[in-house]
Amino acid sequence: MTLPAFEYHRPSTLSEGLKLLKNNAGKTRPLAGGTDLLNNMKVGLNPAEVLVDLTGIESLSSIECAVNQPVKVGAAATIWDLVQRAEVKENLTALYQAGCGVGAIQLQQMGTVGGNLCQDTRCWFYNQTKHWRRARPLCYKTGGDQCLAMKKSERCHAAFCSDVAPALIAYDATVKLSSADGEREISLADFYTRDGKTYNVLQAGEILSEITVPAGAWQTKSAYVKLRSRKSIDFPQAGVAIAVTEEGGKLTGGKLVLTALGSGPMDIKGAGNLFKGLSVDSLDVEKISSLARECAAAAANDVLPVANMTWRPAYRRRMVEILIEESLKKIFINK
Amino acid sequence: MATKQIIVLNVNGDDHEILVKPQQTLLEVLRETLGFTGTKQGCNEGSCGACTVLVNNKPTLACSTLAVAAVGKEIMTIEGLAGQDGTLHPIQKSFVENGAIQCGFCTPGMVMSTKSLLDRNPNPSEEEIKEGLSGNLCRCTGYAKIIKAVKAVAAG
Repeated sequence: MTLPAFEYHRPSTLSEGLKLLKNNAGKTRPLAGGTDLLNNMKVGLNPAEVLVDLTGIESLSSIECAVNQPVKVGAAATIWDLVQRAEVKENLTALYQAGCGVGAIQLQQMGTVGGNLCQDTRCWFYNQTKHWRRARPLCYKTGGDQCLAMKKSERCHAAFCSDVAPALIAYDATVKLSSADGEREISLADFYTRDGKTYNVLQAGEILSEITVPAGAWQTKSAYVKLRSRKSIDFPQAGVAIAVTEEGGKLTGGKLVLTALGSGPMDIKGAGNLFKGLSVDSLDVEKISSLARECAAAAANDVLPVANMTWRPAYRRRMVEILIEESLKKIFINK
Repeated sequence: MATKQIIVLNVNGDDHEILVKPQQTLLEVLRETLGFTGTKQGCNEGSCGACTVLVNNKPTLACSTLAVAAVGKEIMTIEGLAGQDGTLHPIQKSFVENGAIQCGFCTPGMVMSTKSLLDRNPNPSEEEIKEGLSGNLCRCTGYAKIIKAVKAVAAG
């Protein structure tokens, strides 16, 4: 498969890049690491007549990262450059584990943080060659009026498979969205729509330009665990990020965020209360198992795996509790 | 739309002035325009690692990189690893001596990933070797000897 023809621009300033995106709105896509976009384009997905390569914009590749300070990451900074920093590795464990879980080393060194957050949703019926797809009717994501994975559904159920997004949401990260007409800052959780077709809130000509992890993240204990067929390369079949805060030996709150179990990352609302007030010393293997069961029950209504990836939805749903348990063990027992 | 353009690519220390279309991948240009056929096309979708080259010393999948995006960067392919007189690089030598080559198709990618790994970490543990090469698939499943070869070259 070869790439279709397109125009290529590599602006050196953000304003120049945003102007190009605005002038070509509707027929352009931003390009960064290329690991998702270019391979999708080879099979006729993510069509674009113009690609605007953001990697020439220096400000988009910067990383400001110091302990106890907000972390500011340019969207075109690579996953590798962010997560291999000693401060991240030692303190922001879920982010480190999520970054190391992305594909393999090549993909971490090429792929960007912004690209990982904006990656296209995935589905068996969508991530196929043009010829394979031609044998079936169009689905919501390819311009049709049905979901091939979940019949009679009124929306697209393609799965959102980012590893980095759940970890960043667990830290309450925010994102800056920039366009030629201005900027806005929203929480990363609100960036996603949970619809497989239009899976984020980006408008035409707008890009995700910066990610901010609040200073509070440095005080958390966190972990990310991913379910996949092999230990590398594969996208998650399910993923769990947990970040908890502690004071005087007691948990004061926490976040549980799931990925690859629906069309967007899921911030499980009831989880914080389940963590609150627990004594850290009391969290032995047994207590962690029962806490994981409670967390999984709280997540049960949000989780909606469908038959659009290798492993069966029932198995992926069942694994949520196990993954939560593993994450909690990583935080409180293995450390 | 998509008019050809003249670019200069620095491959293995030499500048090459070539005419490319924007949609040509680095892999296509290396193999078909410049004749560096040591870099292999495997899955062509960023999964197998057979096309791994070093771009500014970072292991990079040439199938998922546009040639036009590699302008101004230093590209190293498997052809750039051996000496001018054909003397094998220690990594290549170790692969040969340890029988870490079966069909040989994944070997250029494996060798380039090994170079990147050893540049970052000259004494990797077995786990670190496995992790460093986890983006390279061997369809002959000859992993044990590949790991042995990397260990041997790291041990000097």
